[in-house]
Amino acid sequence: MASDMTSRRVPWVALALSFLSPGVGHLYCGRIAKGLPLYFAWILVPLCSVVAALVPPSATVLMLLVLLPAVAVLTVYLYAAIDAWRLAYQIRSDYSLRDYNRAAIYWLLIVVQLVYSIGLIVGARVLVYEAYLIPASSMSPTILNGDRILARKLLPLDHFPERGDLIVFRNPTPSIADAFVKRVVAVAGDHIEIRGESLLINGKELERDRVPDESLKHLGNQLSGRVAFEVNSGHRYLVAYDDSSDGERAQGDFEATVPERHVFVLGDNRDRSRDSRYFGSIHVGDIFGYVDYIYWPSESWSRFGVANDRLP
Amino acid sequence: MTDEPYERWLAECREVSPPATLEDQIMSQVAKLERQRREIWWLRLVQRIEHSRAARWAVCGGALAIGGFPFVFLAYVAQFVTF
Repeated sequence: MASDMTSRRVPWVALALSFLSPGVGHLYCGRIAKGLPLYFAWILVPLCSVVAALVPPSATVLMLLVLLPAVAVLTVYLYAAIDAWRLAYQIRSDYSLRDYNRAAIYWLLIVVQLVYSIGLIVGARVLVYEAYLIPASSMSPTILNGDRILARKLLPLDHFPERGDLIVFRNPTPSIADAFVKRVVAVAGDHIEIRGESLLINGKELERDRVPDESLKHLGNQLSGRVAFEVNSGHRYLVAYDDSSDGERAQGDFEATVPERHVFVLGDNRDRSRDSRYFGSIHVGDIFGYVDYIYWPSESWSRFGVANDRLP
Repeated sequence: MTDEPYERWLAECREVSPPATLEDQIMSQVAKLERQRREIWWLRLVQRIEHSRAARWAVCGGALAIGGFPFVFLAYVAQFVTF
């Protein structure tokens, strides 16, 4: 409601308020109907992330669902600032003060907006998707050193890891890394044997296929050793072994049975990975998420896309 | 038609001479208001900012730095920037 008191609208104040929080500059200029949608634009980011996590789409659609809202919010932010400045410039004097034209309301909205926008980002990171920059080559040739991956955390309550899944889990070793990325090769109750380069699950050796040389071009300089396709419970993925057989292997022969509610994980770079052969099986409660996408590959953009072969 | 009581009141008012200290009273009130205005620090600050182009740029730049923080945080969470 407009009062009898009039005041002038100062363009730089409208600009500063809008920079602090998009939409508040419009409130300062009396345009509440336009200001509120701008104020709540940040909701777009987690909303689209949740949609992407509930219906894991192709990599291109995922990028549209995750990147476009962020770009849209940035565009809204810049538009709101310019528009608020323009409005204040047009109004200048003889502006009838509204009930909400109070400094306390502006500051409250600014603080709430900063808290809620950061809260939404943290919430999306903790509950929906988390991005990781890979600093090692233990998952090469599937995930290379320098790749950026997205791990999905929003999962059904009854979800349980399957053989072949790529998981991010709590680092069980005293090293400084918070999390490790490995592949689940055996689940609870499985008996696993490693004999040289052979991997046996419940007494059955996993199949290995030769990889055509042209398929390895996208690995760039990070290709080392011999690479083969390994097939495990319907998943088909690349694994690498060192060329030398001079005893530098990560670990020799190994045998174990996976306990209840645990999974056995291995790095795809079998001779250069510290995994369940060192620190034992991983409790499912220590799993942070499931790697679905490589959204920023380090070597070649031809590797951009889905990392989990269950997705489209 | 004239309003006699009103006319009489006006005539009485014209005959009364203002107190000698009236001018001083008014001037002291004006000075007091000005003093109060100067004591409000944020009002002084706003006035200074308004008169300096550099200060206006600084305020808008500071606001941009604070308001842009969620975007920097989003870029950090997405691993586009690392610290």
